[in-house]
Amino acid sequence: MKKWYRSAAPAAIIFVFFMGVCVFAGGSEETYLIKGAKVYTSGERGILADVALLIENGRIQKIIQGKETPSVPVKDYSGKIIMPGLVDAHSYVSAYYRLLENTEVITSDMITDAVFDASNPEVELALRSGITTVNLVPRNESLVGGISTVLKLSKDLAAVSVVKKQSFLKISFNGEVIRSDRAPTSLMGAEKWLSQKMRAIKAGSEKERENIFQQNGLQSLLNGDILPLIAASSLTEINTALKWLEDWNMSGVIVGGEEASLLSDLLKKKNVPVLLSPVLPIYPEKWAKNAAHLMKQGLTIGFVSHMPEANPLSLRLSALMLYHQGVSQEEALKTITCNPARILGVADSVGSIEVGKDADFVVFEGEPLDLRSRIIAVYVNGHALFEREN
Amino acid sequence: MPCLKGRTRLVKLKLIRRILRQSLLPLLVLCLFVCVCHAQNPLVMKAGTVFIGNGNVLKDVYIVMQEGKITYIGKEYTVNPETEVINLTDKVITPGFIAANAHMDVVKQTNEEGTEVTPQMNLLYSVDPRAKDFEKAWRGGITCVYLAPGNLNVFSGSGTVLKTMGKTPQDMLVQNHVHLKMVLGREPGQGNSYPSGFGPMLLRNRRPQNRMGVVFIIRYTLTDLQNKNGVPDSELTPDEILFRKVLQGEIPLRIRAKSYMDIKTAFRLMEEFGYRWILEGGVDAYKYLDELEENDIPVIYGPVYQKIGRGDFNREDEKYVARTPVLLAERGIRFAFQNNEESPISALRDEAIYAVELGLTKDKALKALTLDAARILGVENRLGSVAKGKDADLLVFDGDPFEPSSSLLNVIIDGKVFDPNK
Repeated sequence: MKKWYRSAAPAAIIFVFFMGVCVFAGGSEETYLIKGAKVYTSGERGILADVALLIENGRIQKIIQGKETPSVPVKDYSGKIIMPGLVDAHSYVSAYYRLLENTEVITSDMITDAVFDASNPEVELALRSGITTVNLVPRNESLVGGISTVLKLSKDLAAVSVVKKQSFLKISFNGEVIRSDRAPTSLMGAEKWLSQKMRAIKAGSEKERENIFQQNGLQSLLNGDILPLIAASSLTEINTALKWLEDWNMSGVIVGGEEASLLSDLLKKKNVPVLLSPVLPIYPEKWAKNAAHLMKQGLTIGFVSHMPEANPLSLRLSALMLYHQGVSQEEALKTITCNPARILGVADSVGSIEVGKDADFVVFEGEPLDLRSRIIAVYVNGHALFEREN
Repeated sequence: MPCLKGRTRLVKLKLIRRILRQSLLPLLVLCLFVCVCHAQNPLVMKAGTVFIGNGNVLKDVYIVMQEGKITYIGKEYTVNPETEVINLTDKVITPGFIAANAHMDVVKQTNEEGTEVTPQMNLLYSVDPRAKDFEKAWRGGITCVYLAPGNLNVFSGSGTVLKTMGKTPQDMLVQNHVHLKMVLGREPGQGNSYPSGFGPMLLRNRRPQNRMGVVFIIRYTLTDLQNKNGVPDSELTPDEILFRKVLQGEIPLRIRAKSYMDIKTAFRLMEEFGYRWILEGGVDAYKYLDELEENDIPVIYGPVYQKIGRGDFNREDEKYVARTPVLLAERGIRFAFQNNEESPISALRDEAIYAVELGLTKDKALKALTLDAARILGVENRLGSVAKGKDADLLVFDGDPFEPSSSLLNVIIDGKVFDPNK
């Protein structure tokens, strides 16, 4: 009896998996109309009721107001709410262990597009939560981890599209960098080490040239082709990061930012956007006040999931917590859609529902900030990659 | 032609005068008006006894503070009827105490152990202003501290002088890159104890492992730079530029040396390389009083009541060690107090009280806590005494500050009044 079980179970799993792939791959047509739903555009047009979206070749071709009805297949989402696909600007989805090249502290040549694994269950988890675009970043354990890549999620590896191959150079002043068995062993040392390396590359010393590894990322940072994404969460870390930015006369983005509100004046003066970690289960009140304070200071903020360190649902929860602090619903939703897209520099294709942009959107049962309302469908590049069965 | 030139000059002068009259004067008036409108109300105190910090005492004077600075000190002051005068006629006022070297738990990692020689390290941006020890410090009457990287490197970095209250380290900063710290003795070698070829390949499998190795690294670094005497600054690394400034005497070395061997080594190296230096720690400083006096080397000493008698020190020396401040003061050697890893920062005043009991005069004790500490740190133009133009950092006692029974009533930092007992 037992032997029969063992041989049949993998076969059944493979069969189900293939069926699933077939259903999702062939699920949608080239040109169709999305009708009946209220649309939260996250763009200039605000909230649109009674509109239809004409989708053609994976892009939003037209936003139709009025009674014009083109003769194409129609998908009716009456009474539902559509918002742009969520943009996660700092994610390790599907590749948590492959995003750390731990041989050296500075590995600026790494590019993360190589490690995305479409078959990982985390991808499905992210899609089910409405995340359509991720910035796949190297981990915080390296001082310079490498170059991050902006991807569209898909469960089919062939369908994964790269939006921006080189978005940021990931630098980390986080506590995880500092270890006792290798340099840097302190925060000041981390900053000085990085500056020293950059100075050596700038001077073009022979010793550095021999070292092919670690060159290109920092070189393009020095040339101004790429911006730094600096992981810093506590006050001292953010302070060090800002000092480093000032020393090298660069602009950059800070990710983490749990105590950023203590330095909001400095951040505002240097116009540094902040990508905030998702809501902390331990001090939700303190966390929410920090986020709301930054928002009130006029800084551009966005929420990130650090997936799989946190659940992707925490993006929506973070926006909800911000709403509770007195921020309007529209602004709160922008922190998980168009703000991160703008910070990543991909706002011309994702992050809002506007004509000419990619057809990435999420269909909700009710208000997106109501945690009871379930996600009915998630569309990436015009294809429904997730649809809830009734 | 010369005549014409003269005429044009005259025309120019007239033009300048006209511009002055028509635009600049009204602007000046406007500026003055704006300044007057923006100036805060001054804080006026009528003080009974003021220890200025340089040894003098003033009785029954007004101290006026505005925008964090002392704007007036003296007997004749016409009080504006609207401003409130704080009456402190039965109180004693001293300048805020300065810890010329503070061991505080305000930075997570103070040691960068990547290499032995890290002169560029600086703690300023790693300081957490919300740390408990800052609160302990100002509650103990210490308004200004010197913080430096740790002791596990031979050249471990430059020091930072900070006020003990503020929201960001940049707010608290008085002066950065004050001294370059050099550590003699066993501490830099601690942990570097794997002989090559044995043990795990760790970061600290390197020199130095003892005193001899430490001195080797110092000689190696400084001789290397002496050999580059003709090379212009632009071709040197930032590290080397720092060491050049040390050898030229622009930046003093702060040498942490406790035992007699290390202090002797510091003198010997001074003869070889000719740097300017300050002795820190100096448990055995009393053995080198003549040399210290001759070379005019300040000493940062403490705690007075530290326990010795283990390791490099002799138990018999204990009676001299505690009296070191007295001996230093008798010779006229400038000194200041510090705390160590085992004593809290707030105990600085207790140290001075103890030293007074052992025979130090109160004037010298106060000077060591205030003006001399400021002079050693090179911030005497801003801190260290109660004088016009200096920062309004004051302490209010209900009696003689060196009587254990008198207590600290108020701490004033940058013109803001705080109650340490709340």
